[in-house]
Amino acid sequence: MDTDGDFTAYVAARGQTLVRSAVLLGWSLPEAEDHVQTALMRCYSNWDRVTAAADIDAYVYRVLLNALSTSRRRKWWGERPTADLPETSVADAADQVAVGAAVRAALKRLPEQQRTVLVLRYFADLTERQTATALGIPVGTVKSRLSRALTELSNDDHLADLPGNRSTP
Amino acid sequence: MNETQIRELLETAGQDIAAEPIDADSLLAASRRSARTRRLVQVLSVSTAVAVIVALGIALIPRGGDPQKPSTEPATEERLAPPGMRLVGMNGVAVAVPEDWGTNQTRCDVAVKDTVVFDKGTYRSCPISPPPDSSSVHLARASSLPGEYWKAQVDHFKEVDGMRVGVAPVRPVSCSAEIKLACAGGPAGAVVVAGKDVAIWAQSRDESLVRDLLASVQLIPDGYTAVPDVAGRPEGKARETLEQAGLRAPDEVVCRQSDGGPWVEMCSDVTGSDVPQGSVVPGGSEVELLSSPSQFSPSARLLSERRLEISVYGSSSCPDRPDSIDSAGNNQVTVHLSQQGGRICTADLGPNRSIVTLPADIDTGQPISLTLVLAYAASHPYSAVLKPPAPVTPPSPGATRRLPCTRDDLAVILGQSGPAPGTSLRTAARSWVDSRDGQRYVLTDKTANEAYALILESDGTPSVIFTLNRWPNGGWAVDAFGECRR
Repeated sequence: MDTDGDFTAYVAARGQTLVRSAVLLGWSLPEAEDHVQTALMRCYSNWDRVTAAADIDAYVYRVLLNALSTSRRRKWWGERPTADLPETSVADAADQVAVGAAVRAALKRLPEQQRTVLVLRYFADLTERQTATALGIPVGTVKSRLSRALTELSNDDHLADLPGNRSTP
Repeated sequence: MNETQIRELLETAGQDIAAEPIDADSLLAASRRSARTRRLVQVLSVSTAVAVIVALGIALIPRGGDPQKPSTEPATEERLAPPGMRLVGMNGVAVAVPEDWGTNQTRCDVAVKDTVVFDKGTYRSCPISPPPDSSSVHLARASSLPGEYWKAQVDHFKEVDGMRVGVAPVRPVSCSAEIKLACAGGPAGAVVVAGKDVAIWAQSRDESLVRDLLASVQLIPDGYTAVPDVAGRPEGKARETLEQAGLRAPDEVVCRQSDGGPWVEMCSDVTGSDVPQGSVVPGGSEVELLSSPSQFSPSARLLSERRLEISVYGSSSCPDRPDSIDSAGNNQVTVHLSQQGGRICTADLGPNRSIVTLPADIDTGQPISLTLVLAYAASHPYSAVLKPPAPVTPPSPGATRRLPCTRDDLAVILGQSGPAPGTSLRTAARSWVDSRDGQRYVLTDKTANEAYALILESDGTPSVIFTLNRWPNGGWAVDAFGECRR
């Protein structure tokens, strides 16, 4: 087994998606890049176990989520210096707001558990079983959280007003 | 919003994130350095520990598990068992079984498929021969009947993960009238972990499989736990059992009702969990509690004008009738029932129906959480969520109705002047259909459990309608009675 080759190929194929997933989960881009690299380094040190796992993606996402939650526990997130103004949660004119910012803002309004299953399932494209494995929860719970998340987003006025959202008649 | 739309939105949002491709080579180099550092730290830690222990003159007792296991590893079951296997266990002890094996797939307490069996030591006396190819792993308390049996077969001990394990050698077993497990046929062997009160035995026509299964017995690693048995327990007890095992359950029990139209079957005790009993999962995992209505579970349905109809099975002559109805806020309502009637009660299981008026603070336009407390089983209440009926779409102009008299046309409900609910169709027809006048009756709109009986006049005009329910014996009995409007 070519550990280095497999690892490099995996990073090249999935690295960007992992970073984007972390951003959609609520981290800034620099933080997301740091955490993804940390997670991948941890995976490398146990790459034989990663490849032996029934599902590599679920395994890696689990490591990433662990890294993210560990990071959250370590830091106090009440105040952070930032060069940019925070995104407003209320769009004054929905049609002038970029879809990406609106979607990220809508995701932030979701409870964390719902946000996580939504991003893993519909952005990272994990199956329900993979999502369940990554989160250590039953498949039924994944389904119910997805259902609730979709309902929440359907009721999100800012998303409903998006020009590209075909949920509005 | 549907799945396609959310995928498109997330895709758009993802593309909007200016994530650069990760430099895989740099990351690989950093990972190698990190791995080397980690190994060095571990070696130094172990060396230091050994030095301290030697200096103190303390014997080092070998422990199981993987001391080099980093804390960041995913808490998944896959890494605990070899590929294609899963861990099942109880009381802190686990065994690896093939992933496709089920749990408690037995008939008359004998494995009928390759399965894991949690043996309670009580067996039904209905001797059957198990299929010759089935293999099984059984787990039971060492102090139970089968545990004691296997303890007596132990001929040597060994140490596994620091625990003392008794080994009963694999050998052919013959059927015994006393021990069901020995009737499985084929070679069987066991390990007994008395310190954990666990006995695990395996049987299969394939002797090497038995040996492999027993060789995989191990301690459940720290941070993991086995899903306990919750079947047959009231919700509170089941929840408590899960919590004691370090697991948690969502707020609501999942009641697996059949789609029975307006009647909603009610659930009581927990019948299982969505993660099978014995599965080894990370501590703190969420496990859903499941319940299923039985054939004789109560059911309920919403009627018009804030009325609720309840159907419970019991003695026909001493039916269970509502005593009180209380609301507890949040659209929750509890109905208490007690048995009415004389001293002598028929021992049948007939459906007894009652109609109650819902308290004024219950919003019938919203889902209602109904709890039913039967006097003889107060600690095992039934519950269900009743959803308001969907708005009725009026028939389009010009549409014809197949029946001139249907439930919508009922003028009188619940047999004020007709046969009592529960009267068999044959008896009702004898009293209400006068064939000398040319009357006859027809059954219509028949489903598995409900039907209508229309009494037709000599000219074919319907005059009376019975709504019918099918009883457990397969016969039809009157549920409600009405006169067709002219």
